[in-house]
Parts: sequence; structure tokens; C-alpha cells
Amino acid sequence: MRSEAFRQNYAAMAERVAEFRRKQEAARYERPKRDLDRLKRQDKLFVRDRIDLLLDPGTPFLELSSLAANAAYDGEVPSAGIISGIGIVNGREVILHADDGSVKGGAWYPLSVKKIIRTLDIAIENRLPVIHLCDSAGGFLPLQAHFFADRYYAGRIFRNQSILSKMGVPQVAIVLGHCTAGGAYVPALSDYAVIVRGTGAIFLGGPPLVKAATGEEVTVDELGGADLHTQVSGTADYPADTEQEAIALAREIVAQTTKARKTEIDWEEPEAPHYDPDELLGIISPDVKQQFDMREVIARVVDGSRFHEYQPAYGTTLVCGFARIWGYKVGILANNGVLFNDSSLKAGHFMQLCDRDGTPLVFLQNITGYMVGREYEARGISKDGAKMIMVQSGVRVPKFTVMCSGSFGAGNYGMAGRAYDPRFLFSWPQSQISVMGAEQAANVLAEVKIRQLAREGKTLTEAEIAEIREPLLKEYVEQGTAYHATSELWDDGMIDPRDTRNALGIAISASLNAPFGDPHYGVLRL
Amino acid sequence: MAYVFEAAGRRHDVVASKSADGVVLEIDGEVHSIDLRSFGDGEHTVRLNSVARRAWIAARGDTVFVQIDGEVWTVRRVDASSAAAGEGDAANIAKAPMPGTVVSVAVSPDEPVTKGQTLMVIESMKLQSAVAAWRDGAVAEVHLNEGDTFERDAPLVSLAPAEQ
Repeated sequence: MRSEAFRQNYAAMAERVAEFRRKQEAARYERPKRDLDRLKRQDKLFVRDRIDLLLDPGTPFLELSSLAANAAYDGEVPSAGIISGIGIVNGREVILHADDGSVKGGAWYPLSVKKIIRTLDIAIENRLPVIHLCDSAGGFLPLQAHFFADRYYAGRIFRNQSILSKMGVPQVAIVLGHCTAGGAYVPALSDYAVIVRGTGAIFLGGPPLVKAATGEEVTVDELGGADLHTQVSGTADYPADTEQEAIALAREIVAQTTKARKTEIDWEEPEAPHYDPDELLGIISPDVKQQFDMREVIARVVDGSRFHEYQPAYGTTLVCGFARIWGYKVGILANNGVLFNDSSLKAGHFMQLCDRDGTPLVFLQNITGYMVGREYEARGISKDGAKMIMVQSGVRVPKFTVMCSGSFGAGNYGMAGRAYDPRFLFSWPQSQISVMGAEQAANVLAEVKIRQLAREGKTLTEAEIAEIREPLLKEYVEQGTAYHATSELWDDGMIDPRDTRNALGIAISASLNAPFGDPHYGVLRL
Repeated sequence: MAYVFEAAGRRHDVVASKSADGVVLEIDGEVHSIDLRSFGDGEHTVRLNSVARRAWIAARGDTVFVQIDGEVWTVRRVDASSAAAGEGDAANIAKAPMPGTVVSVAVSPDEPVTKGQTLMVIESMKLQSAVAAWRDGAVAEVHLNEGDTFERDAPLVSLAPAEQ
């Protein structure tokens, strides 16, 4: 393994991972001084400190989408102003939605709304209790057209909260700052709401809006403070004098809820991988064109590096097999090349086996697509790809997807891309995602433009063609990076490849809070 | 449960089953009764056919180190299917997994190669992959040159037949 290629990959990948860590650290902790000063003046804790107080000490916390909005709003809204993640509170798995008051006063941007909705979708899919740490100035008005009215815009937050309640999944809101306008519904729709005296407030319209609307002059506390809501209106349940008290109360409340019975799946005492996950950096190439053997990746993710390969001699461009991750038995599908007819059929068969036996599925994507060409169309590549998509969409078992390198075209779909509702989807920092490769796309787009100009009687020089092509290529490459994908919440977060095993372990454990149901499928075009 | 272990260079078939007074091990067809008690920190008492001994046991992956009477034994669990596997596909030729082009050729005829060594790099559907030697041997023929295009199943590199 210590070949020249390994060393080169390792050096390059270590740099990519360090860059990711730097960006993540900045998104988590770097704030303009005036924002931190304001928090101090308001006697409010930084959101990270609130989370530390809330979670059981020494337990793992899987932060989701830490680099959301990294490529939007000039980078001024780190993590989209929302912290989301799965942690343990009084021994129960919960998911957090925490507004970050140090980012634009906790205002909701379009991607903040998307992140909150995704957090609550995860809660619905996995029946995870939710803790809301509320501290938001309300929606960022200049961008309201991008978060207010559509199906998956802000209204969905409150709809999801209502659905969670209907499903019997508890929600606790801790009001640590303002909950204005729509934000007022977050505690109101929670089963339990704690509010901090002095700093916490809930109202549909804040004092300035009330004055403008009715002329009434009223203070924040009179309008929506802790005493009003816990003694008079009943919008919140527990008053607290300090943030610390509020968070301690929330922990107690979580302890009162009935602990969910988890779905039982095949589990054994976990075992660390025999091959060091650190070696992943030498196996993966930062160049998406360089293929690597996914078995080498699997060996550094699964328990004891043990992998029982299914159909090892058939459809070899897709590696399928059984392994354990943190003791949980899983079926793994991993790309070792383009998908052919045989690899697609193998995928369908393997997924049905796993689905029947209640074995969760893990997809490790490095896929340029399904094979094209006359020979393959004649053999029915579209039909066989459709079988794979039909089975994959229909399985009842939870799916987990990791973008390991390339994710292109319909391969993204067949391998449980975002649209196929994998319970969780993570991306490695150097991975790329787009409908086709950047070079090909830029060429196609440039070609269209050149022909258009040719019809107008213009001929172009090489330099002019390059002038058309280069900006297209640049934009395409930028939009195909893992950073862009995670910024737009096309995934649940970027991870260090070496953390894949841990992220999947927490994700699988979380998914078992929901029942699997019975297997059933759509009609396969045989 | 049936296991295959390797100790002191020899393989042993072991079948473990429960009996009224504990565990029975059938090692290479011979039956032994066994009892193992742990005192923590790797210290154990092993009672084999009513003879008790003190042992220190440590495991690392599939390898277990056992110290009894000052002597250390290394026991390795062997994957049962690989223990029973034969030589596998003795093919002498690497064929193209899909249509593509040759990016580079890394070897020439008569050159000795070791298993895993890169023979040729091919590109297909935007992906470059290495064609690696599937066993030790010598290159018999390189069927294509750099830049050549090929169809699926086209011969890429042949190795000289393995000597018996």
C-alpha cells in the first residue's frame, strides 16, 4: 500500500481534508467581534456553549451540514445560521435545531429555512425527538421571496412540527432569545416550551411592528416575555432565570418522555477495522478521474475489515456484499466502474435480498453513470437501470449514501442520491457531483453556442471559442464541487473520509428509532 | 460453530459445541472438554480435559497470542472459505471490462511482474483505471499501444502461463 501513488494521494488528500477542517472550524467559531460583543451585552451564551450544556457529556454529537451556505450570501451566514445534529440527552437520541444568534441576530435566510426543514424531515423519517434552541430575529426580509410561500419554504417547518406531534414524537423548545413572527410557532407547536426571563420572548409582531400597526407602545417583556407566556397566555410552560436553568430543565423534560423502542436488527459487539481508516487518504485520489478499488475503502470502514462479497464474479463494476458497521449488519453497494446491464441487475437482486431480511443499505458512490452505446441500449441498459432505480426507491430498509468521489448522471440516482430519500447522505471533501462531467458539459454548452452563432453567419476563432468555453467550464466546475453541494444542502454534511465509519454508525443507530414496515415494490420491467 | 485456526505453521479444524458441563472442542477430529475463566487483564485459567493451567491471552484482529507456562503461541483464525479455496482463475489474459482507450502502458514483453503491479492504465466513461497483474509472472504480450481504442472483452495484456 505504501506505493508512490499512495504517498502522492495521501499528501494531496491530507491537504483537502485540512482545508475542510479549517472551513468547518471557521463556520463553527469565527464571528465578527461586534456580534460576539452583542451576545455578551445581552447576557446570552454562544450557541455552541448552549449545545455543550444540553448534551450528555462525553457522548458523540453528529453535526449535520456544518458548511451549509458556505458558498452563498458572500459567506456571511456560516452554517446557514442554524446548528443541526444528532446527539444524546439523558440517554435518548435527539436531533437539535439551534438558531445561532451570533449570525445576523439569528435571522433565517433561505438556506436556514431549508436546513431547519431538513432537520425536521430527519426527525420525521427517523422518529427522533427534537430540541429547538430558539434565538431568531425572524426571516431575512430582503430574501422573503426565496423562503416564504413555496411548498418547501418556511411554512413547512410548522407543518413538520405538527406532523411530528401527530406521530407521537416529542419536541421541546427552549426560548433563549426572540421568536418573532413565524418563529413564534416553533415553541407554540412544541409539546414543551421553556423560556428564559429577560432574554426570551415570543410574539407574532415585535414592538416596532405593533407600534406601526396599532400605535400601541409596549416593551418586549410586556409583549412576549417569560412571565406573560408562562403565567397568562400559556404559550410556554416553564420559566427559567438563566439559560443554564432553561437548558437543565429541558434535559429533565427529555428524561420524562417515554424512551422509544428501537427496531431490532442483526447486531454484534463492534470491532475496529483491521485496516487503519487513516489509509483512506492514500487510496482515494483527489483527481476524480482516477479510479480506486472500493474494497480498499470498505476495508477501512467496516468492523474487523470483514466483507462477505455477493456475486464476486458477476457485474464486477458494482461491488455488493455484507459487513458490519459499529456492529450493525449492513448491505453495501459500491461502484468499481460504470454500471452495466449485469451490475444493475446484481444491484436489484442484492437490494431485494437485504430488504427482505431487514438489512439496511449503504451506498458508496463513485459513479460516472450507466454505460452508453448501441450495444448496451440493445441489451436494454435503460430497462435494467430502471429495475435498479425501482427496487432502490421501493426498499423499506433505511439507506445511507456516501459521495466518495464522482457522482454523475443517472448513476447518482441509481445509487440512492439525494432525491431517493436516503436517511442520511454525506460527502467527502474532494467529491464531485453533476449531471455529467465538467469537460463534457462545457463542450456541449460551447458547441450549442457556436452553432447558434454559425447560423447567424459568424465563424469563431479558437481564441473566441475558448472565451465562450472557459467561463462555462469554471462555473460548471464550481457548481460541481462538494462545497457547493453541501452549501445548497444537497447532502447532510461534508465529512473527513476517516470519520465515515463513525458518521454511519450514528446514522444507522438513529434510523432504528423508526419501524421498517413490510417489503413491497413497484412493477419491474423484466 | 466450525473454525479454521493456524498455529505453529499448521492448520487445525475446530468445532465448538455446548455440552452439559461447558464447552466441547473437537480439534482435528479429537474431542476435548474445555473451560476458560477470565480474571481480567488477559489473565485466564484454561481447564483442558480436567488439567488446569494459567494463561495470558491477548488478541489483535484475527490473531490471538496465548502465553502458557512461559511459552507464547500465536494462533490465527483463517477465513474458512479462503482456507478451502483453490488457485482461482488461472487465466493468462486481462480483457477489457468495457470499451475505452489506452492511457499508458507500464510494462513490456518478458518483463517479470508481481501481483498487484500496474500493467496498463485505461480510460473509459471518463474514468481511468489501472489494469493490475492478477498474479506473479512474466508479461507475454501487450496487445495494445498507448492511444489505441478497444471494445469490451478486447485482450489487453497477457502473462506467460504459470509454471506448475
